[in-house]
Amino acid sequence: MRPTNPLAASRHAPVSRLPSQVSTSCRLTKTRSSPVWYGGHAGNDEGGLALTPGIAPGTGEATGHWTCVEWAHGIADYFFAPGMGGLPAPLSLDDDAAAAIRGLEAGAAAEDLARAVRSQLRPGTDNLFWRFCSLWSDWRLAGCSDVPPYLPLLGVAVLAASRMEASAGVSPTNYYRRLRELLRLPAVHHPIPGYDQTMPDLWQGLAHWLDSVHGGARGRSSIDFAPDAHVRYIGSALSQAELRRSDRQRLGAFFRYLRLAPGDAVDPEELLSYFRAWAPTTPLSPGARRAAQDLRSAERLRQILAADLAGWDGRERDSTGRTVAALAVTLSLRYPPTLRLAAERTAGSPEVAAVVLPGGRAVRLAALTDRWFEPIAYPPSDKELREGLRIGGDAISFTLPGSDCFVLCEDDELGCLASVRTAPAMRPCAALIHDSRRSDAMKLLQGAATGWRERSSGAALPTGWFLITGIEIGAVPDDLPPGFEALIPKPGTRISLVGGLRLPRGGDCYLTGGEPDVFVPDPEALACQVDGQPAEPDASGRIPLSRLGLAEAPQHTVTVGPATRTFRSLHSTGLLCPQPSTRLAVRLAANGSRYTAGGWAGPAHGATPPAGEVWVEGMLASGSPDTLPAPPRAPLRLRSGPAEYLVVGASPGDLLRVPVLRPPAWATRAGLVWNFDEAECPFEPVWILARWATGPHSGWQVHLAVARQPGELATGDRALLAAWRGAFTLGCYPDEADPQAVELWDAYLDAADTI
Amino acid sequence: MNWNLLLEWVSEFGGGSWPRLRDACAWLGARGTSDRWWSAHQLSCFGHLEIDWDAQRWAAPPPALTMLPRGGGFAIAAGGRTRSFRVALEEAAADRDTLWLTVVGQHEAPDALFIQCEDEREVARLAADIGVAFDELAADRIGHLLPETDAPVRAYPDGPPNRGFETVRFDADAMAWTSAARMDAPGLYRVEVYWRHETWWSPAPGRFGPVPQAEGMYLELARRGRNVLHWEADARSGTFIVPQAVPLPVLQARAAFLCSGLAPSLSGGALHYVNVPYAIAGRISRSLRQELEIARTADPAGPAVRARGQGGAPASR
Repeated sequence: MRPTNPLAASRHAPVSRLPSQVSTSCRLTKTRSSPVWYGGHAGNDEGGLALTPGIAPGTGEATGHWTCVEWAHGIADYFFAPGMGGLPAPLSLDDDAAAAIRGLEAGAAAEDLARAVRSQLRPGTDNLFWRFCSLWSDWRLAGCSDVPPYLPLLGVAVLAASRMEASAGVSPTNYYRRLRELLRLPAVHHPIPGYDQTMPDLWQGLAHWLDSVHGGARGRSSIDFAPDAHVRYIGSALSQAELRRSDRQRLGAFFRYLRLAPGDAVDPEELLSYFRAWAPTTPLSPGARRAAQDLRSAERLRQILAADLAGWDGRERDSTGRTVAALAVTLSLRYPPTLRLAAERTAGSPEVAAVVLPGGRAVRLAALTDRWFEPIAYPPSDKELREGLRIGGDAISFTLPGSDCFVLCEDDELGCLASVRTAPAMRPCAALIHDSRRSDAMKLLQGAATGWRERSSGAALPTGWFLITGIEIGAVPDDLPPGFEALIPKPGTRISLVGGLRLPRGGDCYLTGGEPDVFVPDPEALACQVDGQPAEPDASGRIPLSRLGLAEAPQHTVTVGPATRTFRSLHSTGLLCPQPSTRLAVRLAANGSRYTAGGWAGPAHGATPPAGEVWVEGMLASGSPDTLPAPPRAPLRLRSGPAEYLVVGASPGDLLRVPVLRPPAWATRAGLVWNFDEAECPFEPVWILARWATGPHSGWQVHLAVARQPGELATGDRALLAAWRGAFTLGCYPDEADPQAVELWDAYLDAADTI
Repeated sequence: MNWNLLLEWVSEFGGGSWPRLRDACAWLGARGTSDRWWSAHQLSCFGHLEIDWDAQRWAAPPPALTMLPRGGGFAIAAGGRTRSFRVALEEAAADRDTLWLTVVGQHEAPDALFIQCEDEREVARLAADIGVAFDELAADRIGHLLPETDAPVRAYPDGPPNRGFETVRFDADAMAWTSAARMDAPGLYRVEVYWRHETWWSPAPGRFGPVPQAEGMYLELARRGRNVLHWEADARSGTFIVPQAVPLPVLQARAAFLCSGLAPSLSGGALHYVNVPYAIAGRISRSLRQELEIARTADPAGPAVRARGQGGAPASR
């Protein structure tokens, strides 16, 4: 009698409604190292199932192979680890993942998995996967709380999908051929008996376990349950093989390619459109490349890209998950110039990284800034520059791709030139070029750039290299020599915000009037909008946002085709004074009335100069009173209008005549209305006499400035005394409404009479 | 170049690295490295910015108000100029009957903000009300503070510091740079070290010291005994005339600028700083080891006929 399919009995009962305490014939507990089976079916010679309750089947330690139970837990721990926090969790099992799970070489690990699955097959029946059906049924009746025991079969199904591009001589779309190879089934088994009946339910069970039982805590299902008709039964497996784990490790590089930062949010549709452009240029798996162009994969990819961006920590990783960062070639500008290396520091990088340099010397790299470790005193050789260099430690590796042309830009944090991936737009850069490419370089620069010049190398550069500075590529040549792509500024694959006056408020925040320029990759094909209004790029694809008169807003939106980019603008930071944390002052040492230059001070907010020092910030000088020059005496300020002034002091002889002059030419040119004139009066003015040449009050008029009684003689000079006396004989008198002035004037007349 | 926007941005940003400022200058229209450097240097000369070129960093100083010397009761706003500051200044001036704010646009500098008063105590109160500093006469104070130009030098027993790099030498007679293969004679040299120039002063064979270019040129002019600074008197004050080929160092330029609040005009190959009193021009010249030459005296009587005490502009030094 043929065994019946246990799925049939429970197929019509929804998984979530199944009783959890149903007694079944087979149940497994979650002890990976020594699984215990209670009852159930007999295992075959390839191990995995025990016949008697309480007796463990052969384990890895005993047989050298993993059982299905061990693989089930291994797969679950690897792909569905607790703490996934609702992120999409595809069962993207491929050779590399199998190797990582099993700790063996890739091929051996995959074979070990396939062997464990083969051990549960029932050849010669109408359902080759009957035992997995049974496991599924028991697991459901037990409440689905344990790891799905049939995960190894699903893993093999995905593994077969992941190999679809790999086999020579086999159609890349031939899924069953790869599955038969893994399960060692003869070609006559077509279709594979029981596959179509069994697999959909197993996938459903996995989705239920992830989404309902664990509520996404072990990741969300990304299984495709509505594939196209021609892949109806294998669509679920194909959907899991789209982005392998190694592909997802590389998404960090994709996000950095887009110049994103951790925390950035980008519309999933936009992300997918850029992923489609990026995928063919990078060593992703064939499945990932195929999925990138497959409309049926779009929704899953959108979910994965958005979820991975949300959880991205800023790092770039290799396929094994090890953090990969860049090495930059640096050229110090200070005398004597030196060529060195600097290791990039990405988000989440440690404060100190231990690496081994070529030659075996171990060094510890200390963080310099958020972007860089301290430069490494290791001048790269000619060979290392041309062929590349990789230095690494346990958890991080740094790579310098080999090149014949390194583009160098000033790096404000390193304080020197540092190599960059591509030349920046609107900024001059330098290029370190190998002599073998001299003719190509000169041809390129002569045709496309201005202002550049070759510099003497001194002793800083390796033999065979030369340096050109001041390069600004103005036009992209049609025949760009290979290897010089980095010299061509690329505004970015995303909508690029270039230039502008950015404010230190985090993210893309700009001063109003200083909004950046947007570069549109294909201005003729894509419609552009700024805050919902159509915007026309110029011939170079540039939209100068600063000319649109945008008002301050927490979010401006630039839309180009399906892609959007947001930024915000501020009219002002609201500060009356610039940020106090960035003070910079000229330091002067005071030595009596002499001052000597003392470099620069970077004082903290509120700090004052130490004794003997004066700081100059802008027009302000600060220091203790004994170190600062005395303030000048305030000048006497007189209104324009009269023809001349006489200023009279209390002491006979204190007299100043001030002719009223025309406004200075510079003030007239500047459009200033000259209402006052000034005089440096060496005495305290008591009377100010003004002579009006015209008008109803023509003649002299007197005004009391300060009430002071007449004093002693200020001089013995008879001419000065006569002039002082003459001021009181001009026939003018104070306003009678001011009795104090009248009385005082009389006193001065008396004093003048005594002279 | 939109100078106002540049000043507003440096003030709102506060401070940072030279590449950041250079990029802002580039985006605002300064073409080429020298234009970008010049734009930042100009702001520094006007007291709107401090730049430590060695450390490649800059900071916007706090805003402040100061009177102009013999300036007809005009004060100016110098230092940083955030938009909030400008609004506060305009509103505070509008509320007063005794102060008048005039904005003067300039071609090669940010707007000059003039505040006219009869009594500078009104300006001091205005400054206090909006929370900024006031200096009675910053031009005079900075003029007093100017250190004498000097450059520490040391021996270079292994040879001059230009090995392998293009070098030019300052010709004090022509006030121009000429190619130089060696650095063995005393003088001022400029070595083109990749991205930037380094200027070295050599007062004696084998001894060198790094020096900012502007200071170095005046050291060399002094070594050669050449006086190039002139002062031309007018009725009230005078015009300080500086050859364009040897512009003033930053602090000296700032002292001259603060006499009028206006950028110097260029005429006949020379920069003309207006409304510079003789005393301030003299201090600037002395700090640069220059003897100030009197160009001519338009009004020998000076601004006032003094009955006693010090006179106005001297007939000669």
